[in-house]
Amino acid sequence: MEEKIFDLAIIGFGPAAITAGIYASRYKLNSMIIGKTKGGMITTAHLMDNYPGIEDVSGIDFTDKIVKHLEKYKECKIKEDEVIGISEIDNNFFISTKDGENIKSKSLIIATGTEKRKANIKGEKEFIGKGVTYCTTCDGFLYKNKKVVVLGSGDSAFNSALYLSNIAEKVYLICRKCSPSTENKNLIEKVEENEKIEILYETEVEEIKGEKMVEKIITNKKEEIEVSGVFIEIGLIPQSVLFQNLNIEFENNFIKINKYCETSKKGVFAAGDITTGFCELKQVITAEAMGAVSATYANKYLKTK
Amino acid sequence: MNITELTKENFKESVKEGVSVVDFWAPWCAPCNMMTPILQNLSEEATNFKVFKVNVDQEQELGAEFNIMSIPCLKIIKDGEVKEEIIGLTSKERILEVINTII
Ligand SMILES: Cc1cc2nc3c(=O)[nH]c(=O)nc-3n(C[C@H](O)[C@H](O)[C@H](O)COP(=O)(O)OP(=O)(O)OC[C@H]3O[C@@H](n4cnc5c(N)ncnc54)[C@H](O)[C@@H]3O)c2cc1C
Repeated sequence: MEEKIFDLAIIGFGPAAITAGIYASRYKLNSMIIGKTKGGMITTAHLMDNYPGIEDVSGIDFTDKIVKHLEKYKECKIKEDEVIGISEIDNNFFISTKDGENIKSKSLIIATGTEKRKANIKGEKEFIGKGVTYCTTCDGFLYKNKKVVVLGSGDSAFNSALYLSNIAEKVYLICRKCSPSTENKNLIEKVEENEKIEILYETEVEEIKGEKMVEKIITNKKEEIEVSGVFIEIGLIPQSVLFQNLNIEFENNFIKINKYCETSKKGVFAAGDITTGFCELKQVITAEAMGAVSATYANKYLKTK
Repeated sequence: MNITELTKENFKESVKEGVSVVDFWAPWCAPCNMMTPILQNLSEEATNFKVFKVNVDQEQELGAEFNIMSIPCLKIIKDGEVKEEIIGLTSKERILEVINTII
């Protein structure tokens, strides 16, 4: 491959990265998106209804729209690949990917988002795909008229429970805390009023058991609950390990940014769920806003370089 | 050429002989959609095995018969018998690796 240096490399392929790509293209930057999963986390949303201008849209349809929009611009190349290494020499960044490519760039936007947290329960790993799942929208319908349990007390756990109540015979929602940790009153009300959902507060799952497939869970109160499915929705972990050697600042593994989406290192910007930015609201609209801001200030930075 | 979708009517007959990779999927599952181009590519290059798909939304009986509890799920079948499975999004290399242990 010829030695080519990009103005901007955008790592990630979620809403933050895609928006950064659109803005960078409009600034005529020679840029490249390198991302593992097209659309990122929102592809797993059954329904999004809080994005102004687009009502009731599935995560997959929404992704199609924003990717199409990005592809309209030819300035931003797209590479569906995983970044496995990154280093900096003389203010330039060297990125290596799983497919064995090396990409060189003058600036960087990190938008690698988060991944679902594993619960580390006895039996969890063994039963992945045999009853244990992390994607309600993918697998929910496979539990028609079965009993399931959802672990977690936040927004996604409550949403999952509600979604599953339309499919499963019975849904147990197991929260470690003593009250919901979502602020969404409307959602809490719907879950609490739903006859199929039983909420167990201050409860933890100690073990997942079964012969070949999940058959039951055992709680810290030594209660046995018969279920076929265990849906784990206990939060997200930032995908930031890869960037530790860039000498940027972190806060609880999230990348620290200022209001211009700058990290503590010149030429490195970050956007979306991976960051500490925008009052901790982790949504598509805030991720996209940060994507726009980061590309704008990357453009400014490149002009001074 | 598109990958052949199997139904409960033709499933047994189709996987009866040789090695087959069967992808259990559904349209609304994002990781399943990401598997599609990988499988497409795999099937175009396949010489000593076959690639099929089963839409578990339409083919619920097959889904139940094969204990599909998470998708995408690939079953690697030899002469009608399931030998291996790969659950979740995976790479072409990984699938080939598994196939090669069976062929
Ligand atoms: C079930 C569910 C429902 C949701 N519903 C809503 C909703 O209704 N409204 C709303 O506003 N928000 C919703 N969200 C939140 C929303 O999905 C996120 O806030 C948003 O996707 C964040 O965008 P992002 O671009 O920062 O990160 P992500 O979407 O997480 O994207 C990160 C990207 O980086 C890639 N990546 C990670 N590591 C690497 C690597 N090493 N190399 C290359 N690429 C890498 C990933 O593959 C992915 O493409 C929901 C989330 C979930 C899980």
